Amino acid sequence: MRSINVLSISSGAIALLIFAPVLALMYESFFSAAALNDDTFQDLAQSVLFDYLTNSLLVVFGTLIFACLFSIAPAWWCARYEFKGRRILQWAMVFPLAIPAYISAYVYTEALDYAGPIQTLLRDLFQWRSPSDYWFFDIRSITGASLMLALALYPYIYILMRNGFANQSDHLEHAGRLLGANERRIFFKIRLPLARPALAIGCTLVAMESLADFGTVHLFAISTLTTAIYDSWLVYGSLSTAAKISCLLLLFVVSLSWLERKQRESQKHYDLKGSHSLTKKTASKKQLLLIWMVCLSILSLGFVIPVLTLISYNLDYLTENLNGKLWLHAQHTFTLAASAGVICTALALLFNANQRFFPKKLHASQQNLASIGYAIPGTVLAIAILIPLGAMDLGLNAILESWNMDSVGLILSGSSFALLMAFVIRFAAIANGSVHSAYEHIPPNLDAAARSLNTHSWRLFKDIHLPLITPATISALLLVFIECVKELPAAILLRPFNFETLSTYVYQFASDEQLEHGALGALLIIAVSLIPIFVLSRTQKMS
Amino acid sequence: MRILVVLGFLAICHQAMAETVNVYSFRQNFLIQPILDEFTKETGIKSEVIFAKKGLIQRIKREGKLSPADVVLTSDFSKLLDLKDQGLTQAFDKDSLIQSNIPSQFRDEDRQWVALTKRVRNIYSSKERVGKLNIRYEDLSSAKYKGKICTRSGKHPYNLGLIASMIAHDGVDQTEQWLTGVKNNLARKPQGNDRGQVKAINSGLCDISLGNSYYFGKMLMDDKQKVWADSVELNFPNQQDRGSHINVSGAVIAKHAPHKDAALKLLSFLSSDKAQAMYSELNMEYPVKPGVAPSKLVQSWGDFKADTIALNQVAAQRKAALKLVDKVKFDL
Repeated sequence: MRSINVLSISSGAIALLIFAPVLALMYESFFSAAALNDDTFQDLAQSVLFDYLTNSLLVVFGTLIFACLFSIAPAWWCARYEFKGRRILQWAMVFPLAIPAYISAYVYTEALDYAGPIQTLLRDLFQWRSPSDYWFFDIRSITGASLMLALALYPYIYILMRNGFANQSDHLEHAGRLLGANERRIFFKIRLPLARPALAIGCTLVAMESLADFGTVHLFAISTLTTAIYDSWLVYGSLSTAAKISCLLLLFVVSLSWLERKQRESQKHYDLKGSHSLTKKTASKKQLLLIWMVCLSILSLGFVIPVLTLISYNLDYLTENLNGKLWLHAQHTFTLAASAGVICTALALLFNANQRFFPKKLHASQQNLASIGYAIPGTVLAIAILIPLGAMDLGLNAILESWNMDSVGLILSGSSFALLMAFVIRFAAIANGSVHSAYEHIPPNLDAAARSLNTHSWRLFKDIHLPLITPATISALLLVFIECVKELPAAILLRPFNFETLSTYVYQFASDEQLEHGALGALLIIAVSLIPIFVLSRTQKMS
Repeated sequence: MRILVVLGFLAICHQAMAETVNVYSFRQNFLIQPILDEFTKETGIKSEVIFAKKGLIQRIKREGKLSPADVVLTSDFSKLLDLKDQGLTQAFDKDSLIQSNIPSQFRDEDRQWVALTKRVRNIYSSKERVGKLNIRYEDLSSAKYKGKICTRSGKHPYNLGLIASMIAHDGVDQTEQWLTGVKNNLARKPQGNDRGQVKAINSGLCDISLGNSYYFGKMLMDDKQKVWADSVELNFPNQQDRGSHINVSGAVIAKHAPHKDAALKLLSFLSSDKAQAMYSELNMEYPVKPGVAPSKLVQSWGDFKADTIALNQVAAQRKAALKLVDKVKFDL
């Protein structure tokens, strides 16, 4: 048995490289002199940390519930039924992914707040005078934040589930029917459990993303663990406390994915796509009505209303918002996001192929290691990246100096390289999750068959695995791209001089609660994020 | 790879280019850009800016001696002191214009930082329901304002500054009682920014709010927000005793500034009559240079007595203030 090979070594090395900043941060947080003489963590633990923790968990829990409600049924309908407009609808359901949660949150706060048009209208209509006269849904609440996050994040579960459903074969359903199960029972007892790997990965992504969210909870004034990280680092000035709380977050994420995997281990299921894949049914009139009503409501909430609001902001401030530099920001954003997408997807393929060819605990843990960046709030990750990159820059310049050459300055930490690295580390998990779930579906006997014909690994990968996981690979690319376009906190901190991404540009207005002036930029973010969705919908046959 | 080579090349070119000044700014681009443009017009020195509200100090620290930062602009006093305490600043020249432009109260005795504008922490009150007030910050905990007060997060630097000054004047225990009282008087959990509170007063959600003075001017200039500003009175607190709490925005020269001369010129310019007047005109802040009158609008809010306590003394209580905010769970 060859235990040493290029594939394993390179994937191990890259996983370690991705993990290096986190390692540096952990070292700083627990072992540096500053960390040992710092009692901020104890202070926080005694006062507010427990409240923050509870809030964080509630937000994650709420987001998961809403996101599942928004995604599972539409995913099933789009995979199961054939009806007019399905091809458009199944892609349109992904659109809300293009809108950063904090932007929808802003739009809905403006509309639903006490001073907003809806409550004002109600007060005028019913002659209410003060807040104590009536009850109204408080958008700036844990429920509100969960709802906003779920609207922005449900497409993760939706995409994965739709692929999951579409790749299921009919064998088991036929068996179920023979035993007299009805449609409903078949869905809950056969289809849904079979799609569980996809659901689990989707939920893990949503959970991590909502755990690391700062923009939305900050706008809604909900104190969560991310708030605690920012506070302790930027207000108390204690990086070590921030890192300790980050580690607490990581602990959650790791145990979450461990729990999910543990449960799933006992029920592996392989299936072959091909002649037996899910056959589509024609939807009845009643079903059609339900499908369109539900899907269109979700779409309006998650996409149409925020976009229309942004457009109306723009009409008010168009001359001020038109700005030649916006085009340049869009180009920056596009290039960076595309590069990060390609790198993340390539890494995901590398890790998963390695795990497939050499299944070892070590390789599985490499994947987990490389995915850990997803749970770290962007600002903390940014600093974590500056630790090793800054050291490398200093080293490089010292070497050049010793050779009597000119200094090159901060060639790594002061350029877009740092930003690219942040994006890759932060979103490697998304690509990995998507590719991983597809790999899980390829039965090992395919590999065995190929091997018996003396096929070497590269051909096995290129001719058998890759074609089977192409949809998932493209989804991975798409998801990472969109996330990078929307990414804010790391971009703010790591971007070079006079370099703006669309998010950082919009943020300077949104942070001042003046999104109206950044509305054009916000629309561009949405447009840039929509491009890959459109491209995909034209080129890829989803089911 | 090609991108990296190009970027590296750009980085090198960037360093080789003469006469630029690199600014790390906690203040938004659109606030400072007009002033920086004026600086370029006068001196021919170009400016490059990175704006972020958070984390810039940590970035400079990490960049160490290779940091491209020449000047750091802050929006509050505590960051000036942070920069100095962490050894990230260097002294400006003894005989520079900064020394003669800015009174000693507003610059560091070791010449490590200089304040550029003053901002007052005002109390806004509803014109219709409360009217103009002769009020002290201390009164905000009084039972008569139960359910009537709105404010942004207690952890925002502007509120932290105020709480720290309360500690400096009244002591920790009394301030804790006060802060608990204010929390009990809140109409809603702390949220939004200073303007959002005035908007809430306008809509009838509360009667009183804390906010910096220049937001009043900014709201008056905005078509949509003018209604909010028109519904409130701007009050200067503690006029009968110590005076209103003020914070400052300011600047430092970074320790490893690659263009120290340009940085010095920028700071001199920012403390000059022209830039000081621009700050007041564009951002409705109070100039620190004696003899520079605030803009007409700012003047129309009337004279006021400012708290003269040394900024160092207030900053020393900042951590205690933060702990209090957590202790009384002000934001929760």
